Amino acid sequence: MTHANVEIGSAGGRRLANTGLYAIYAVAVLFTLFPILAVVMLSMKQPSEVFSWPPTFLPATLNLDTYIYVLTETTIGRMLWNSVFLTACSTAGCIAISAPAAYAFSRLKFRAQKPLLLILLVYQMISSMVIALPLYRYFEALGLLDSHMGVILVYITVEIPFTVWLLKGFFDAIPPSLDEAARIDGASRLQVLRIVILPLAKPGLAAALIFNVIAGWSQFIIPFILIQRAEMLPISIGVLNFAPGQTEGEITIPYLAAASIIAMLPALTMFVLLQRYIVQALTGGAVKG
Amino acid sequence: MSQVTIANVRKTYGSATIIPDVSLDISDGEFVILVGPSGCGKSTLLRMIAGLEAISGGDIAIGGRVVNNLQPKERDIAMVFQNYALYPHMTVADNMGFSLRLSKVPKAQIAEDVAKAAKILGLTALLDRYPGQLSGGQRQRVAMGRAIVRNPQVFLFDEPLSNLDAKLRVQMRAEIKELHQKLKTTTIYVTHDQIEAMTMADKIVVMRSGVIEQIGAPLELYDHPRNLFVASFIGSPSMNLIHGRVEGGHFVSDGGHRLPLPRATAGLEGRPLVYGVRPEHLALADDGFEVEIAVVEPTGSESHVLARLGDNDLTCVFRERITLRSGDRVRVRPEPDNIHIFDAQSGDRVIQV
Amino acid sequence: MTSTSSSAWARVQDSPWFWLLPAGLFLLVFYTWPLLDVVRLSFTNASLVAPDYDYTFDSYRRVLRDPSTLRTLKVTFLFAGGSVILKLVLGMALALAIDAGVKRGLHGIVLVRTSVLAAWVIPGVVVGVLWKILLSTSSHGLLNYWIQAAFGNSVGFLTDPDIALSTAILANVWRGVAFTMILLYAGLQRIPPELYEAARVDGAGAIARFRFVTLPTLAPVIFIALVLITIGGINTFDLIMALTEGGPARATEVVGLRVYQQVFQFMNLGRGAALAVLLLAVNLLMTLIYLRLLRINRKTD
Ligand SMILES: Nc1ncnc2c1ncn2[C@@H]1O[C@H](COP(=O)(O)OP(=O)(O)OP(=O)(O)O)[C@@H](O)[C@H]1O
Ligand SMILES: [Mg+2]
Repeated sequence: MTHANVEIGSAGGRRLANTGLYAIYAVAVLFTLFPILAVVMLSMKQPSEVFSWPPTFLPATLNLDTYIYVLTETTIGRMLWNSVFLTACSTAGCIAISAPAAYAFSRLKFRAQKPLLLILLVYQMISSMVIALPLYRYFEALGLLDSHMGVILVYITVEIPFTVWLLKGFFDAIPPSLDEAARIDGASRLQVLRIVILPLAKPGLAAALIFNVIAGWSQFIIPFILIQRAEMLPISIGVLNFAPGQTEGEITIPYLAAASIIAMLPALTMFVLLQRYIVQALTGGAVKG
Repeated sequence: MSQVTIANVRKTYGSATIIPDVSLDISDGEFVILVGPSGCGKSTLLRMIAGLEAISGGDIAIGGRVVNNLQPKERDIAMVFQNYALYPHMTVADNMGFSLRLSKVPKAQIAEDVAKAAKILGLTALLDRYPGQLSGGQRQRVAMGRAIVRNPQVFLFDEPLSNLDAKLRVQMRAEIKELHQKLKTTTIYVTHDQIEAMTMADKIVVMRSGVIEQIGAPLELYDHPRNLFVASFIGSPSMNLIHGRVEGGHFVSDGGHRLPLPRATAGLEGRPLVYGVRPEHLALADDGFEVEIAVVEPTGSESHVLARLGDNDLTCVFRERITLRSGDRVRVRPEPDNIHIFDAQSGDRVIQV
Repeated sequence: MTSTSSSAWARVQDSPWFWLLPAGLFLLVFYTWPLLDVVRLSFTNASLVAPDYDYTFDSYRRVLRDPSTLRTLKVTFLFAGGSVILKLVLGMALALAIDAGVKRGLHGIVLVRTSVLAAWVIPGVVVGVLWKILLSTSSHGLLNYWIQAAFGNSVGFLTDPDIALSTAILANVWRGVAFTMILLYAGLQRIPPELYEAARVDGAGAIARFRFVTLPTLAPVIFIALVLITIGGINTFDLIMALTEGGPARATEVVGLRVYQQVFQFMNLGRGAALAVLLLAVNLLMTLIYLRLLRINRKTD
């Protein structure tokens, strides 16, 4: 490793600067992790501890009772499953539909190319709330309210613009002469996409996968409006059901905390495992169009 | 039979005409090289033959079959790209066998054909490697291997050697030529390197701005360039060109210098002309015209001399080692059989020497 | 030999529409059509419950006359604007710190980057819940207990109308600063090191280098980040829904929330649609600015 831009100066000055940087890192990490950790700690408290004054950061005992309770006695398992199902289906569907479109935008020349790419960009900027109102009416008329199928179709739609742009960026980085060689070797365009482009765009597919999973897991407006039956709700909305109502008061706070942690855990795990691809996609310019 | 016929082919991008009207016949087994400066449309023409670009007009036939509307894979051609275009995620063997795999040839057969091609090209030891683990020359060879495995009617090459260093280029030049002599497959080869064209081609096609300037065997182009463009494009260092006119049996340059002419000069008097002589056709001679030496570049085997004749630069290549210095004055004489006269306006050659 | 059918199939694949058809269908049916329909609905007095409606400008008239519309817009822009400023400043500081750390070969950069980005992965609702728990004035509100211990009285982060919007901004910044940081960090990587070296030879100190090299070269990226964050801020719904539900005293009621309430609480589809069109107009305006910036960037590249 070379450190080309290291300031030339006294060792003392350098050490001071390094200390300053480490201080900034510490503040950043603390700022980010403290809320998460505090809620993790809270989720391990017994309901009775919630009333004890003064409140403590650490629970009296580390116990997972709240988690066991939330996972076994509430519908959270069902909600998690709903989220997994919605996210998985919409991610797979969105990538399957976006990849061919990205291929066309990357490899074919046609007059509507630029305008269509622009429209995609515009769609990416519009709040889902705008389209959710009419969709509610259609779905109600068609009896699609409370159906996962309907919600998946909308999830796919709202993620298509970004996914197409993302994949197009990665496809563009593959030399077109590879396609041409494959075409001369006898491949149809579909085969070119499947055998040459997709394998070489694996980092792009990984990025698309992660972004779609994160977006799908976080979807709120669409299921909030299009799903009402509790057993059909994804966890991103279901968490709200754990918020203490007027009657229960504080007693359920640890359950809310536990539910929150459970709700963020899958997305977080996936992110930590695959973050390399996210950073790559974000820094590679794919997002900026 | 795998002759290639190009008849009145046109290419336009929107309102821009890249190739106005090109016709070219290539016979079975011929090694044809398209040369021309960058941007003249060589690659475009080649890619139209390959089916990678649509043609805007005219006909292209391969082996007597018009292929205008056929997909690349239906044209029975193979192509080697400048950047080799090897599939980075496949081994050398898989790269070479890819076309056979797509046409559903049995695995055993593929392995056999690949092994055979690999042997011809000396790639046998590399079959399990990935392109990323190969040197430039090896990649180039794999790209050729991928082409010959299919045993196509026509090979297409687009500047296949331009990413190699000079020494490797000379070696690969010989290998490609040898391969062609062995396989005798019709070959169309694009380059902007006229030395490649001279050394490898059966027939050279010189292009400029989408137009064919001359077609002919290498030495024919060298000896009888049809116009100023071909004259200056073929040959290295390139031909000396001096503007002037014919007066009283001599060529008089615009700067007033007299140059000798071959016999047949009748009817040339008066109009502006260009006098062309190749550097290697100038010799030191006491009865020549006087020039002033500007730079001497000994290459070892010969001496390149940049001299001045009035305002004109004159490059000379002498076989002998010479002891001239900048500022010296010497007399040189063109070989009378190798003097070219062109019309200054049209650029066309006006007398056949 | 190739059959004509395979050749026809290949020709079909040469057409862009073959590739665009699935995506196009989805976008047409589930995006473009609803988009047009919401504009149409905004010119009606439709209700969520009654099937019949008339065409009228009444929805717009009511929405535009309603003082709470203005307040909602103000809240939305304050929320978006506050988030933008904080995210840009903090994101820039972090990007510079990480960039400097990488160049100095410091340890733990990946840990910093990962933990900061982690917040960005958490669903907005959960972010709202986390901060709601953390800032609560109830007995489990850890932060407020510490504040009380230090300053003597607690802060109504979520209950004081004057503070709640700032709280929402804080939570939003917590969630999104990493995204800004990564965008800016990517921009920093694209500044040629020779520029810094030349500036250093010319005698520029660290601050002068930031002022005369980093900022100007990074300006296009900063502007783009600015627009993207603004749009994200304007469209925020989930976080506020979980954190404050628009309260207290509607102090955090952003446009999206109001659209939702008009339609699903007051059943007033026409007025909700008119508000949604307002939101759409703001979105389109921001996108226009974004495209302008992209074009300027292309030219200067
Ligand atoms: N897609 C395109 N749209 C418009 N013009 C094009 C396109 N592709 C090529 N051209 C133009 O066509 C001309 C011929 O290009 P071509 O690639 O055939 O040149 P070339 O002779 O192969 O040059 P080089 O030696 O540099 O490879 C060039 O002027 C080029 O700018
Ligand atoms: Mg070319």
